[in-house]
Amino acid sequence: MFRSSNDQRLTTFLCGSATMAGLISLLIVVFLVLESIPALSHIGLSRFVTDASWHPADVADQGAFNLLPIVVGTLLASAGAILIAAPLGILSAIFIQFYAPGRLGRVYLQMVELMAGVPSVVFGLWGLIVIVPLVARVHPPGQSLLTAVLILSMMILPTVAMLSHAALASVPREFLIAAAALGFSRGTTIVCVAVPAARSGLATALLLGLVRAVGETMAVVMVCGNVTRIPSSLFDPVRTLTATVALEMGYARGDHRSALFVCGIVLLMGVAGLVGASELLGSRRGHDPA
Amino acid sequence: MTRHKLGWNVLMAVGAWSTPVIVAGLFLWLLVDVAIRGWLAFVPGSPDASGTGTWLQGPGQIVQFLTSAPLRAGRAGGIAPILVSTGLILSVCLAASFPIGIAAALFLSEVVSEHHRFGRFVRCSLDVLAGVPSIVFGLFGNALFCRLLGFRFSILAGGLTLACMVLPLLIRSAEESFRAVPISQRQAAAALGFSRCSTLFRVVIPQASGGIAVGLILGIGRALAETAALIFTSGYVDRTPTSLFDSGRSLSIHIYELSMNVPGGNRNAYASALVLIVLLVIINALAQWLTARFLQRQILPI
Amino acid sequence: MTNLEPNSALPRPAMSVENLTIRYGGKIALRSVTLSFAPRSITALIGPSGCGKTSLLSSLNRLTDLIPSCQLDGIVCLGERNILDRTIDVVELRRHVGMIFQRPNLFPMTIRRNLELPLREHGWRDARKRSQKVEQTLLDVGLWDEVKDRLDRPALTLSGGQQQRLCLARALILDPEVILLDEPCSALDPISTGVVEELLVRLREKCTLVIATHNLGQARRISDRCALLWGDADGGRLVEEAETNVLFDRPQDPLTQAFLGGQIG
Repeated sequence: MFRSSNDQRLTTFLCGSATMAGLISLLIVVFLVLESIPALSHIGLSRFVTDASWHPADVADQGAFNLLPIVVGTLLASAGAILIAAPLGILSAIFIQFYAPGRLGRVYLQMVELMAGVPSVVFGLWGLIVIVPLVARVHPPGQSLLTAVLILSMMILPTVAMLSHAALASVPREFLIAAAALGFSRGTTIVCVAVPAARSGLATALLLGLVRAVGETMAVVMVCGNVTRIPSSLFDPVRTLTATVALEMGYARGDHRSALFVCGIVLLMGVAGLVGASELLGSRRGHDPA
Repeated sequence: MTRHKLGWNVLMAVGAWSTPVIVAGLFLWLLVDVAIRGWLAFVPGSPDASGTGTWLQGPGQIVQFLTSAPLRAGRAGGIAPILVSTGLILSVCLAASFPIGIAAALFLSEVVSEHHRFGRFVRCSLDVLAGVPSIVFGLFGNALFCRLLGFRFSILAGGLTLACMVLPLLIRSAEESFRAVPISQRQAAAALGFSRCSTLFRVVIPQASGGIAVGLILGIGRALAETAALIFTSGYVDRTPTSLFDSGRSLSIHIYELSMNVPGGNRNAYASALVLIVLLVIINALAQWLTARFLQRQILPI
Repeated sequence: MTNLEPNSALPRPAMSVENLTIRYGGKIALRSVTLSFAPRSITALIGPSGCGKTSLLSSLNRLTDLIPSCQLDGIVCLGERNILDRTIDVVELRRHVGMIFQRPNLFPMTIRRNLELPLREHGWRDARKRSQKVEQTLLDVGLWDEVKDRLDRPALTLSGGQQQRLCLARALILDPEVILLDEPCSALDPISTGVVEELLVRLREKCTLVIATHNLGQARRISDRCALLWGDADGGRLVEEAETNVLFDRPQDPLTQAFLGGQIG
């Protein structure tokens, strides 16, 4: 049965490859946990919220490992980013789907897709050289929560816009035709028919945009100011989880390095929570049962 | 229409039309800024972003930039070793992710049904992988490839880490391409007594090759743009690497390093950013062209 | 590899099914059908859509294996062997039992490669022999004059009728004993249909043909025997089977009379 043993070998190889691919995310979790065990056992979970501040290299009193200001930094930056990107992104999608004449919509969509491909360092570079001085003119220093929010919102806008567009495009035509037959104006159709019909897809778009904001590293590092204190105003510098890992991993040793892996776990949990929430909402792009 | 409704509609129209203007405006601002400052970096005599003097004199600056080594921590000189490192990292990434990705995609589309438990587990795991932040990949790569497997800061470690990142993207687009091959083709092959091997290699894969190529190119684009996963896997060294175990600096890391840690490095940071953007535009255009050409082939005359 | 006896000159049926029941995930599609197909004949399976014609055909070359939820119970014989036996090499089986589908499904390759690929797959290594076989088969289906100058052009540039005839050539090139046809003319215009029907009648001399069709005129024109399948809530079943002229002129079962008279289905 020569032919069939070849088939058998092929199937085994395919299965093995799929298994390997499927195991990677498990491996990531395993390694993160393993590497954070030293920090969790030597420093203890409670110190991550009760220490005076985040100064891990401060040898004098065994280092301070309070993650709270950093977590707050991530939350504020991401929340701010989605607050700006959500209306801009959804309105972009509405524009493409309902207002753009002819090819304009496609061109705009292509531009948004291009925007999604711009590397974060380039966003960061532009933010650092162009936006930071502008913000500094209003209120020094330029590197602040505000700048981080602005840059982040530009970065996640394509994600929100593209997913929202997919959600709106999959609204069944019958709904829109029914609305037209009832004499609904375009605005009413959009607000009362299309958006509610696409609401789970839109919510997914926002959640996944938030995921991207939480996970973004380089652009944020370059413009956020990197001071680990809870900011008291928009113009205060701030630090995020991702920036912390990026900046300190280069020289961290021992428990400090392990503490950075704890940051990684917190990041993963946050992202997992958001992705889980978006899964719960049901329809995702391409999986809509039309 | 009542006045109330009119107001609402006008508001919506204003919002819908002003948004693309704002977004396009911001994006173009960024592009133009990078393009101009990047270009100015090559023009002799022009001040750079931080105003610290010129470097390149005479024509052919771009070629020189692309083919010479960095000097004075990158403030001067070119990016040749950086391009070499970037190319090597990408090659490792593709060499690792392509075979596994295609095989896994074949498994998901040809071997298991939609609802098969193991297939669902793999798909779910890949979806999770797609959402993991790049810095976490950096941590993972550092722990697994640099520490555990002992590769230390190396191109190999960086490439393998990127392979993990690119895998979900590759698998998703390959799987879609396989599913796009009509069932009638598989039925024809089965009715002619083709073995599974032959059906896959002679009928399905050739017909899916266009989509796979597009996915591959998009994966390259994603990997090129990646920084956070590489900073502590492939390292910072800006010399030309002599082996895969050497540390090497990728283009995006070079931009980061020059703008953040090298005073007076902004000029070359912009020049490098311009190079990176041009590469990405080429890649995107290639993917678009391939998509158009591939889709055309699928329009069958009957 | 088990050996499948090619049918000899004895009046043994080329293929037969006995108490064949086809289930898809527990739901019965075809219930307990017993039928035989004489060598070198054309048998038409007629009946409304959903009565199980396609399922029956697919079971004859075990194409049902491609559907994981499909279960076959009973006996399906090619010559003497029960092909539902697990020791049967399905790949070899399909060399003996070919199939044509409703819509032509040629590979997106040249005409020549479409025909050579099955040969290469089944071990024909000699390029010259393959070439000769390709020419012979195209002559047999009457396509040679039409395509001899364009063998290396894409097969999909042919017209619908030509494509379907090429599909027939592709199935024929393996010298099967039986060819199954699932509504082969339903996607074709009347003229192409006529050409294909003419070809099928000629092919009867080489092999056994089983054709599922909802075109009663076609069944009457070309088949030797006819079997009426009918489906209801409990699944499909065989209602009546007889020589074509007998079935159409003197149907025994009232259901057959009603169906042929156009009152139902």
